[in-house]
Formats: sequence, C-alpha cells, structure tokens
Amino acid sequence: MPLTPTQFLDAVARDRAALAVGQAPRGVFTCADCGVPLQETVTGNRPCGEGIHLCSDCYFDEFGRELDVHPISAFRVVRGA
Amino acid sequence: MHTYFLGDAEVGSYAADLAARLVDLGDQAPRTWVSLGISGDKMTAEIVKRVLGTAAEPEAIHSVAFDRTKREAISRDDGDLPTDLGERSVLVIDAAVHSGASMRHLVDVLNARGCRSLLSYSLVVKITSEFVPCYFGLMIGEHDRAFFQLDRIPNNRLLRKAPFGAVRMLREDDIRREPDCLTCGVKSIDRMTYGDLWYDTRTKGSHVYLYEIGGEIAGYIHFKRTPENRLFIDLIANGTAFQGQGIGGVLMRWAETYARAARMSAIDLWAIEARMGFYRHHGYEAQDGRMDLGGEGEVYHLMRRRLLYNLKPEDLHVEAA
Repeated sequence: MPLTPTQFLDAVARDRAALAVGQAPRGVFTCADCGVPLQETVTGNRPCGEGIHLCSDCYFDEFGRELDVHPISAFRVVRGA
Repeated sequence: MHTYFLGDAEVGSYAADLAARLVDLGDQAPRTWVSLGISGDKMTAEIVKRVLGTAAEPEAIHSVAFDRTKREAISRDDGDLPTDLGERSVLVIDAAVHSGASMRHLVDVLNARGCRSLLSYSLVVKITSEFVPCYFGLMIGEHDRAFFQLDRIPNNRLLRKAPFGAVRMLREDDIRREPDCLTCGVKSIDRMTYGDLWYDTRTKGSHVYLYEIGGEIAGYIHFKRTPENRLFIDLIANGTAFQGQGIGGVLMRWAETYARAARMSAIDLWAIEARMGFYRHHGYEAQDGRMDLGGEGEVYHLMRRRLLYNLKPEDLHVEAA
C-alpha cells in the first residue's frame, strides 16, 4: 500500500535509525561478506553476480586474496631495438 | 574531479524551493509521489515536510528501489506500484541521478501504467545523465561526486587493517636496492628488476606504484593509460613474505581510484585463463584479446571493467518497461 505523508515520514525516520545502528532497511542490500547495509556513496555497492553485492572494502579484500595466489604477470620488458 | 558537500541547510533550501513551486502549481500539483531509493526517501521527506497542510500535500507516497542487477524497480513499502495509474499525475523524486538509468526506467514503468503527467526531481544530476528531471538542484560533472546530509563523509581508503604501509611511485634510487626485485614465486616477476620497471616508466610512459611497509617493498602494480582512455594493468604482485595482508587489493584499489580521478572510462587487465571466473564475478567482462606466454604455460585474456557513471547511456543495455 502507498503511504500517507505522515506514515512516510515515520518510515524514513525508522530507516535512518536502522542505518545508524548498522541494520538494513527493507530494499537495501547488505554486503554478502561483512553484512554492512550498502549505501553507494558511503560503503560502495558492487554487484558481483548471482545477486551478491559487496561493499568496496570486502570487494578489494577479495582481490588481495586472489592476487596473493595468482598475480598478474603479463608485462615483459624489452630493452633496446 | 570535484566533490560537493550538501549539508542539512543546503538540502533544506533546495527542498523549500521545490515545495514552494509545487504549492504554486495548485490543482496541477501531483498528488501521487514516487520516491526512488533510500536517498530518494531522504529527499522526499525534506520536501513533504514543507508541503504538509497545503494544496500540494500528496495523497499517496510510494517508496521504490531500483535493482540494477535485475534492472527492475522493486517496492520498498508494503505494496507494488499501482498497475493502472488512471491518468493520474505523478511526482518522481530521487536525490542523485548519475547515469539516469534508474529514473528513466521508473518513468518508463509509470508511463506504461497510464501516468498522465509526470514531474520529476533530483537534488543532484550528472551532466552525462541520459535522463534529465524537470526540476533539479545541482548539476555536476561526469566524474564529480556529491555527498548530502551525511553525518560522516567517507574518506578514500586503501586498507582497513594493519600492517599499514604507503603507496608511492617507483623512484630512480629504487633501481639500486638490494634485492633488486620482488620475490613472489612467479618466474617472470622474480626476474623483473626495479631497473626494468624504471626503464619502462621512462621510455613508455607507464606508471609503477609500490606498496612499502617498514622500508621494504611489499608489492607493486604496473599500469598505463591507453589511447582509448582506459587504465591498463599488466603486472600486479606482492612479495611472498607479505602474503595474506591484502596488498594486491590495496594496489587494485589505488589503480581504480587513479582511473576515476583521471577520468578514464574503464580498467583493462590481463587475466589468467584459469582465473577468468574470478574477474567475471567481480564485474570484468572478457574482450577480444588473448596472449600466450608459452614459456611458462600461461595464457592471458583481456578483460575489462567499465567504471560506473563513466558509462555512456548506450552502453547500459537497460530494458525498457
């Protein structure tokens, strides 16, 4: 059901209170790794396939683990002509 | 790249202006409002507070979100959007329109459901947005950022736990270091001296950033800017002694931050064939490009991750309702 203005203002206040204590309001994705509610400008929000979303901290942590084992080594130096 | 900070006072002033304009519309003011996303809800709340008890007070407010992965609007309240709007006039509100895909998609849905007149508003709009709302507060550049009503404004960050080090450019005196290369267990990298890397930066215009912990080089990344304005990574590694510290992630994050700040459109990299799934999972798409470094049995594929909000509208491929 749509909300009346009063109901809407109450709902927004509840959402803000939930976010302040690290809970995700309805319709807000959480990080699949650390569970933080994803707010694009604050935590980052990176879709990673199959409905999984990660915060940017966890996204780059995964890169750290990957590159420990599988570095990218496609660069070669050729000196001179 | 500019960053804009809009506090409560600024947001309130923009909301007051829109509220006054809605009141001025009289009978033409939309009585059905649709708020887009949690940031749209915050903006809608600022506006609705200022029209309570006036002719512009809405009868109904729908709160919806846009799932970019499924490319569909989802309801955030207890019900779906009405399937038949009965020629009603609707006001759509968001706080920030970046690519414009979300608002455009929502407008398509509302038009398909019989919306007679559609007013739209966003506090912030990027100049490259494919959708331009009827009213908007601040127009910003493609690579700019805007924060509003935040208690804490997030800093850029490279690492969240110790041991901490520093990212810095390769310097000429690094070529005289002992040992003169990183040891990571991959022959081609273990043979690559800092002198080789320095030579490449001086002759090819490439960039090498090191991650240094306690005076030791823990890892590095080598990239360059392509003529197509993409950041191309062909070497990233950390030393065996520094594994498990997330250094590869630090360097990837710096590369992405660099690319965004330098207004590049995408990140390209060579992915090991057997690890393409990892990169695909993390938003990279395979491109035409394959490199067989036969000597070590490694086959690399070119993969690309487009940087969000640098996208051209035609690249979005969002289905219309």
